[in-house]
Amino acid sequence: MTSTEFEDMRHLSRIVIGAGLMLAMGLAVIPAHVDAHHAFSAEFTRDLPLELTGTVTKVEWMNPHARFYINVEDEDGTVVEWDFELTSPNMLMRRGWNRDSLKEGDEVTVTGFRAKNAPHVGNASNVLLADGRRVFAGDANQN
Amino acid sequence: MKNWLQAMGLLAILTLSATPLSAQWPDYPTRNVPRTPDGEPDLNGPVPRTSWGTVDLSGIWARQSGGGNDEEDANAIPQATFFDIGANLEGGTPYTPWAEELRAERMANDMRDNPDAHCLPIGHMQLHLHPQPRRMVQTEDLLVIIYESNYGLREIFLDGRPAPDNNPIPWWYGYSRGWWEGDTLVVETTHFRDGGWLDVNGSPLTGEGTITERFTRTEFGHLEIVVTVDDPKAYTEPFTVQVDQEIMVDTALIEFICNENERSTEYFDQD
Repeated sequence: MTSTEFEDMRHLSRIVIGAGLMLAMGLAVIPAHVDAHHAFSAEFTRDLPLELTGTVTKVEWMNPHARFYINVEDEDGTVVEWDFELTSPNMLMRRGWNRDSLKEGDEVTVTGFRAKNAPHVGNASNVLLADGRRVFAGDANQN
Repeated sequence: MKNWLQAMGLLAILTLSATPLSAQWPDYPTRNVPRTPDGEPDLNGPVPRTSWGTVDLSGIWARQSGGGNDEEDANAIPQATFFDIGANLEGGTPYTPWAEELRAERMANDMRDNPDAHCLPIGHMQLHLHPQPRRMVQTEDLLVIIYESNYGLREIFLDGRPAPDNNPIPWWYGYSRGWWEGDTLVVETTHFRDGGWLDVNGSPLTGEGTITERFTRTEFGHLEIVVTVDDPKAYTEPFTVQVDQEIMVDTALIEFICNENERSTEYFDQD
């Protein structure tokens, strides 16, 4: 990782200690790498977990991975757009989620892992709405 | 990190195993499904047969949760896993030194050269074990398997034709011919192209390989696939593993065009 990327990490809203937090939240997550288009460890690193809070600006409900983008404001007031990768829409749909499950303007807290080679790209393990509901985790009918 | 990755894979497998048989999209009743009194598909119902007398393998099949070996059955065929085809083989997978080295290289590169990562055909074993379902359509002369993953398509000829002998271009899916031995469909596939991946971790399959699959529908809702891999360049001896699948009813495959928004490769390590 370059020094620039290390500096960039200081602009993150919060950095979570580890994946144990995700599991401790009792989530039935659908890891993005266990579906079609396996590339997780080539793209992301579990050595850099993250937690960010921001506003959804866009949702791409497309294969091989659904993606969503959030604007995150850091301590300096700088707004940075983050790009998050989920599992495929097919897998999400089979669990009752759809392209309206997350909308532009939603406030969310995202936990996941950073990309190795891109400063503002992550793999989302958990997406929490402001009202406490989780999206894209487990079965939609149970959330 | 790799052990963590595989542990997460196992977690995903257990998670995905909770997918109900009648999934949410799109619900439409499948015909000729034996049902229990409460309307659920009877997985232990009778095996359907075709009008020409064979077992009918047609249906949408999902990788089965659980399964694995009965610890009391010493003769049980080891279960293959998505990440490691030989995970349950006693003594491990019999790699040749060349294959061992190649697999290690593939893993050291974080599996970035897995065809799956590039939206290419992922090979028989990764297709059998993929968490996305597949539909089998059986006629008297042909079994077609439509894979939701990377929209794979495989033809298995059942009309008794020989394997090609005119030095054809090798194929991602190889050339598959099948015949019935009782109620088991035996399929032999040859003419694979080099560079195949039998699992996510990169167990090789070369152009010298032959894969023999034995499909047995044991009840309405269960399919056992016993796979023997014979590839003298990659393995010191043939080895046999098993894959179990479970029927999915009242649903359909969902279109999956891998290339429509593929973004991952731009973030891969390039060293």
